[in-house]
Amino acid sequence: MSGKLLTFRIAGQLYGIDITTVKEINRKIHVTSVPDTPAYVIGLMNMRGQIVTLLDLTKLMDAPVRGVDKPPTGTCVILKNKPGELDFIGFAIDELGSVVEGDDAPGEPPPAHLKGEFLRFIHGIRAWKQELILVLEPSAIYNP
Amino acid sequence: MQNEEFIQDFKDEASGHLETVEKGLLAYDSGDYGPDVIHDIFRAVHSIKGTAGFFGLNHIVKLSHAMEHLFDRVRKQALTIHGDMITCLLAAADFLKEMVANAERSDSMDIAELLVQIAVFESGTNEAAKAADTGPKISEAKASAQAPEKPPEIAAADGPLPAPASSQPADMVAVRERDSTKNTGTHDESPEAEYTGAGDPDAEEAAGESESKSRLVARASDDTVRVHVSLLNDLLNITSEMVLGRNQLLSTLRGYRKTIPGLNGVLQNMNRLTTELQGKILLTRMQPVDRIFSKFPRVIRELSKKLGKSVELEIEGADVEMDKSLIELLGDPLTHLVRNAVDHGLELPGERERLGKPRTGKIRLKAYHEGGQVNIEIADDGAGIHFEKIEASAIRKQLLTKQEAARMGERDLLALLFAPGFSTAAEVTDVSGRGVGLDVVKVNVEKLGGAVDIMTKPGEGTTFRLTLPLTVAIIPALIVSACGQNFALPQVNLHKMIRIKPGDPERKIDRLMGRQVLRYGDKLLPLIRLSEVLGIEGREEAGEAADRVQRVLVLKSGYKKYGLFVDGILDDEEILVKPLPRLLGECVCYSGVTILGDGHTAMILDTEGIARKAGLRFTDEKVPEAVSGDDQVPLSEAQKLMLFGCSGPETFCVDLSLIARVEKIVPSQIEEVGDKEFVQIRGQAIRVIRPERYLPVQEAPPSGSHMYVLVPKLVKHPIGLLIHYIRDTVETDIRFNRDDIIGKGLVGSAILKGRLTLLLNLYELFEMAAPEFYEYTVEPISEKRTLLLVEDTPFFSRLEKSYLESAGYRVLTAVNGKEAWQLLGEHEVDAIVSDIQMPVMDGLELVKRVRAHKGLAGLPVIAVTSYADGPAKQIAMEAGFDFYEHKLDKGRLLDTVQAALGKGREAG
Repeated sequence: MSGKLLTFRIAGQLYGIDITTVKEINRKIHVTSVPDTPAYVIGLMNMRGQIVTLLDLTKLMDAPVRGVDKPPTGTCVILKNKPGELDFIGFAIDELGSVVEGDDAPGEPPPAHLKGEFLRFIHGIRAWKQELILVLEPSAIYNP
Repeated sequence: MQNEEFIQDFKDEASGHLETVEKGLLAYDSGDYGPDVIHDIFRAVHSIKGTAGFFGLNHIVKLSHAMEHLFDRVRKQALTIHGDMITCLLAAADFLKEMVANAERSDSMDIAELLVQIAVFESGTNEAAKAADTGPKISEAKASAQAPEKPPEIAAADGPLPAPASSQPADMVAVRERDSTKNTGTHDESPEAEYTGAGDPDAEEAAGESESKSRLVARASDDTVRVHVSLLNDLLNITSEMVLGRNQLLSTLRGYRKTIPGLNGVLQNMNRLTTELQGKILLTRMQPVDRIFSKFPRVIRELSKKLGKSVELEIEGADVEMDKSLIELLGDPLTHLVRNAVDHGLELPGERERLGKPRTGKIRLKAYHEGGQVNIEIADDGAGIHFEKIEASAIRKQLLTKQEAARMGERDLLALLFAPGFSTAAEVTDVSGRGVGLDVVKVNVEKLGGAVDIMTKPGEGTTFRLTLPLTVAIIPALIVSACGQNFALPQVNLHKMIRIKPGDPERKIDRLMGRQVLRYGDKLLPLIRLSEVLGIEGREEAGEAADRVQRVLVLKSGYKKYGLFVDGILDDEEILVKPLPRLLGECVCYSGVTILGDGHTAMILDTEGIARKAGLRFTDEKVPEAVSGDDQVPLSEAQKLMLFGCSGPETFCVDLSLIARVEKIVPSQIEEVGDKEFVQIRGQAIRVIRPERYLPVQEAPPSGSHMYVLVPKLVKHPIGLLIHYIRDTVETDIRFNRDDIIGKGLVGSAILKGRLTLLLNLYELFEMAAPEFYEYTVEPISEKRTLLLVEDTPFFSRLEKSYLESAGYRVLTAVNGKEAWQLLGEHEVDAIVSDIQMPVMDGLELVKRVRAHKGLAGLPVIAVTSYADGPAKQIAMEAGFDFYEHKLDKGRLLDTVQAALGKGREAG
């Protein structure tokens, strides 16, 4: 971990992800929905000839956070690929935050009264300004 | 780690060497080898040993060393290679291959048994080998029976070897022997020491190592460069993206073509370069089919031993190239067919001798290019396929009834071989059969976008022919929509498209226990709705919209057929197939994903998966359609068709015999007079029409730098067809249905060259474009006259029938003279319009019978033909025809019919 986090907001919650795992941030994209797939798949998009599977992170994690449902903004974060993988993975976000400098420590572990399957997507929790950032675990997104 | 890279290089290099070894050994086995073969083998094994030593892969070193040592003795003519030795060495080469592939754990693999075997052969003397080699190759028992005479010698030469090891003709024996060798313990411990003691060519050891290293360097400086396939895949992706970019650029700048000078040239150049680039990149993925062919000598050798058959393999066209991914996927189907040919095709040697054939059967593998596709043939000169056997077997397996069987032609019976659960072999052998049948071969080949054909002659042999595309990466597909979403359907799965108009009695959708079915031929076709299968809610309940035209795609997968409702059929596009993304879960309905011309992604539908998802079970659908009615006309004449496109995506075709000439023009040559367009061709102004303006198809803004004008034959007022490009010409006996896409100006549709193609009715088109010239007015007929139309070619039959019916005649049709003769007995007919060349009974024979018959002798008979004049006319008139007319000239044909009826009336 480089320590730098890219932050963004989904359904009201502030998330962060290690910026070195991010390939790019894409706006104004055309997503083709794919019927008969898991609910967390929003659809596929074309990124310069490469196929990106776009995920709904809240549904994927089955996160208990339920913020205000905003209309989709069309912005998404696309993750880097491991070598040998042909297609990419991305997830939709509501609002892009800033890049947060941090130390190498994983931050606080999730508090004891948070339970659920979604914890495996959480790398740690970090306090930043007035808020808490849920730091995501990229490998969990790759293997839901 | 860089070491990993080196090991990968070693693996690649070593498998190349092992191929050399295998080829060389097989050359020895067939007796057809040059003096250099042994040197090649020796060098190959030596190189493997050298590099493996560099990496410290001890077991690979030991085994290759033992082999090298033996080859060295052969090289120095101290030893002769013979049958058992080859079997053993091939097994050793196989094991080396496995060790090389799993180099990291090769040292844990057990090579003791092979070392012993090799040592036994090595210690044998030349005489022993010769003695063993004198026996016929097949009867191995003899060779091994002689070997035991030698044990004392062997033991003397190599000390600790147990004597029985010398008689190891086959793997089965070897396995049993392994334990006993192990127990002696000597070989596991220090085989290396033993061999070095036996006079090893150690001097070459050092040379070998440096040789293999320098070879690595030499390869890099060669004309070829190793590139990882993933890089080629990336290139392919980027290029197809570039093609998209080009299209967007072209459409954006279209309006400025005239205002920016020189733009047109630049765009065209860019257009051409991009297309060329895409083509070249596809070429980089091409590999020779030798990659799969080269494993068959081995397969055949082993099979022939196992089955006691003597087989010779002939390979042709091993240098024909195909896409890498295709070649990889072809291995299994081809192996199955080759095994099948040896097992079921060829007879036993004794049987062959009795039939007066050479004892040795022949299998021929042949690859060749044909019309932009690759054909691969697997031919045997065996017994051929007995139709009675297929029939009996199919009836026994309840795949069809006796009545159905009686109606089936030979082709249809052959097609049964591909039905699931079918095998003609009296018993299932472990060579072919056992679960995997020809149906799997067919499905697999079709998945690759190919087709399988069988040709057989009882007593002379059978040929399986696979027709395959050059590349799989790009396939023609139909873009369809369901609930506003677009999907790509590979054209190869498309059997037919049917439009169902509300209230059409011929095409009625029936409900059966809540399910929809369509009467299709003499079968009920299950109908399913794409949106329902995929679980997408429609904006409207399209299923109940009884007042709308419905579109059904008849899909096929192997022998399964079903109808799929879609909301719209949009386009016809060449798509680049990409694998399914990882995270989509288990969606059986898709086989891949693609990016369409508009830059959006679309899922590629999998017909097999959709059937599964919809719960369609095809227990009683295994039987291919029986020959019925006008769907399939056997033995009809082949037609030459020209395939072309207009501005839209559709492919059209016309019969070439209708076209006088094709002129290439540039769009600026088109002059407009009023609402009509004209082109000057050789000083003559010809009116041209754009077919897409008169037909129910799409029209797109013009593109491309030139166009073509098709000038038809035999029209009084010539009108040219303005088309955008010529796709191909095909010779085929077209098979189409009376009820697919029919519109004014169209004869029908058919799948040609894997594309849905619309056949134009030129004269109807001209009538629509210029009614003043072409409307044929018929004199009022007091009573409806009945004509008998005899025509074998479905296309012409349909066309002529439409001409005659447009003039108000009642038309009966027959496909040959025999059928016509029957109809004459059943119906009152006023005149006959007949083709001359037809199968079963031709027109000449028919007219002779008519003239010879008392009641019919005065009946007017008109010959129609596609050859305008010549000696044929003379012959026809002599046979008894009253008139001779070109079948496609509507005006003259109708004039002639009228004249003939007048004559008939007078005569009657």
